[in-house]
Order: sequence, then structure tokens, then C-alpha cells
Amino acid sequence: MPAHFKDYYATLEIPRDASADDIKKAFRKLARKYHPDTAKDKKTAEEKFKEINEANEVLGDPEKRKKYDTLGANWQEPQASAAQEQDVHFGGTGFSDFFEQYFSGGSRYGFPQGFDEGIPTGAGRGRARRGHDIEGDILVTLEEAMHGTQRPISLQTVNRQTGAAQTHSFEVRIPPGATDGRRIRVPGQGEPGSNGGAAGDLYLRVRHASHPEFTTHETEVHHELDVAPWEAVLGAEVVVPTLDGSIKLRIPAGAENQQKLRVRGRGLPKGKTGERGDFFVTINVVLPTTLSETERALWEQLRNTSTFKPRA
Amino acid sequence: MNDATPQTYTLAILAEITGVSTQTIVLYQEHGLIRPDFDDETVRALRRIEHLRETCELNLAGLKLLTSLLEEVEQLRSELRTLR
Repeated sequence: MPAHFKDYYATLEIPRDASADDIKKAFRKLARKYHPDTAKDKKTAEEKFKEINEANEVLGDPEKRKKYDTLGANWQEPQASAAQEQDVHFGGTGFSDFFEQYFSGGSRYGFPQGFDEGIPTGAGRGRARRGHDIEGDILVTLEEAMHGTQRPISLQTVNRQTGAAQTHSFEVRIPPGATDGRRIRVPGQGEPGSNGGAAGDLYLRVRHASHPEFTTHETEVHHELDVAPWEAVLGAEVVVPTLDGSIKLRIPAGAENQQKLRVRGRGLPKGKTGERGDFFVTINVVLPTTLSETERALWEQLRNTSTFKPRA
Repeated sequence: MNDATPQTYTLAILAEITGVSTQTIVLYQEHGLIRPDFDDETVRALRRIEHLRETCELNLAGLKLLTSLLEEVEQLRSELRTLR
């Protein structure tokens, strides 16, 4: 299956020696720009958003990044690809062929490719044998996880005995509230059985696409809110985005940096009950870096009159 | 089209889906190899256990060790992912 080399550094517009922090920042900036919710041209933005996510998935993970860097320009040389050759190929998971080939792909029972190759399995020849289960990742945006969706998937498997490739296309339903790491079982779409045995199942592991504003943990949704020092000290009312519209949030007076504020029931749905996880806002106090004359005078006045002694 | 809503299975249905006998399932359950509630994750866990048993010829103690290690790796990986 031909896969095109992806220059993830170019996608994120960063140099090859960028630090982990630079990657995070670059991703956030681009994800904000191309997020399907905010961008004007939704179709191209969605494609671009997926690309950015994929680049972030690889470069944001030190192990995957190392692997990617060693692939380099010789990625298509025989030894590089032969070692990775696999007989399972996905389409429609939201990841590119290149990503599928090197960083995700289908694996049997979630074990690395080739882990059980050549090991006699004790099953007699000619006996009906059930096909192996296949596992793979599927990229799901938080909006899709929120409302649930249906995704067309194609899976190509190669029969290890005959060498013939078979492609199956089917729809997979992502239920509302699909949490990161959850596996969706698609019965009978795994590896074909042999000698009349049943086909294995396909397990698609949900991978939440990184979102510029939110992160998730189970059904909790987290948001980091930048606030001015006086907002934290005096309290304030601010507008905060959630997955289903903005809400007004009251920051209590005397809020601490990194303090978490909980908004009940504004996270991801919890199964069929209609109940929802919580939304957490982490206060991130940001200090001004450039000061006008007046501002400087005011800070100085505060310094001279304040009784606050942080090291006392 | 598949229905992917989380569903739970009875012991008999689980045995039918996975081809593992009910006695063996109960045994695995007693040894903490699988969770007490039977859902799609249990189906996956059982298939993996059976596959490991066949290919690696592991006994119950080996299976127990390996599944708990695999679970831990997965847990740590997902925590690492949240932290990044």
C-alpha cells in the first residue's frame, strides 16, 4: 500500500530541533486556527486539523518522535519498510496511510506486529480456526465524542495462506461519551477464519483528537483559563467555552494559581443515562509583561502599600 | 452497521461468543484475570488470554502475571498521554 511521507515538522511549522514546549505551542496555535468549529472554510480546515493532530500525536510523544526522526528521508528504503510490513491496513480512521504504517496500524490482539509469527499454536491442521482479533486506533474529535457519530471504515486484510487481499467497508458507530482509550468492538470484522472458522473481531481504540481549548480525562473535560492577577485576587465573572456553548463562570475572590473550579455536568455524556461528567477550569494566573507608565506607577503604589509578604 | 453501545453479557452468552467454557471463565474470574462485569472489554480480555495461553503456553500464574502487567502498561500509557 503506497503511503506518502509526511513532514510533520513542516505541518506544525517548526524546526526539527524544536523543544517539547515549542511543539505544544505550535500545535495549539494551529489547532485554534484550523479547528472545524471556528474556521471559515470547514472542509479544508477539517483536513488540516486532522493533519495537525496527527503531527502532534507523533512529535508530541518522545518515543514516536524518535522513531520518526530515525525514519528520516530514507523512510522508503527496503530495510525500513520491510521490518514494518503488515498485512492489515485501515482507512477512515482519521489517520493518514503513513501514520497507519509506522505509528498505529492494525495489530493482532493489541500485541506488536509479528509477535506470534511462526509460533505453533497447537491447533491441528485442517481444523476450523477462528480469525485473529485486530486492533487499531480511531481519531475522534471531542465534538464527535460529545454527540456520537457514524464513521465509514475500510479494512484491508491479507490472507496469510493465499496472500490475497480483501477489503471490507463498513460503518462504525461512535457512541456519545466515547472516552479516550475505550475500545469499540466490531464483531466479525477482524481477520478471516480458516477452514470455515469464524472471522475475528475488530477493536477500534478511541483516540481523542487534541483540542486547542480542552483536554479530557474519562468523562471529565478540562480547560485552562488565563486570568489577570487582579481577577484572581478580587474575583471576577468570565465567559468560558465548553463543548456545548459558552458559560459564565464566577472566579471566587482569592483564587489560587492552578486552582481547579468544577462545573457539574458539563463534561462528556456517561453512557445512556443522560448523566454527564464534570467540567474543570484550571486557573492560570498570567502576569503582564509590558507595562505602561501608569500601570508601572500603580504596581509601585501596590508594592509600597501592600502588607502581603509571600516569604514571611 | 454495528451497535456499539456498552452492553453486558451473561456468563452463558460470554461463553458462546468467546468459545471459552463457563467453568474456565469462572476460574479466570476467581483469579482476578477478568472483571466481574461481562462486557466487550471482557470479550477482548478473554480472547487475549486464550491467545496467550495457546501461543506462549502460559499456565494460570503466568497468565495472571502477564495480564496484570499488560493492564499496568496500558494504564500508565494512558496517564502519560493525559499528562502530555
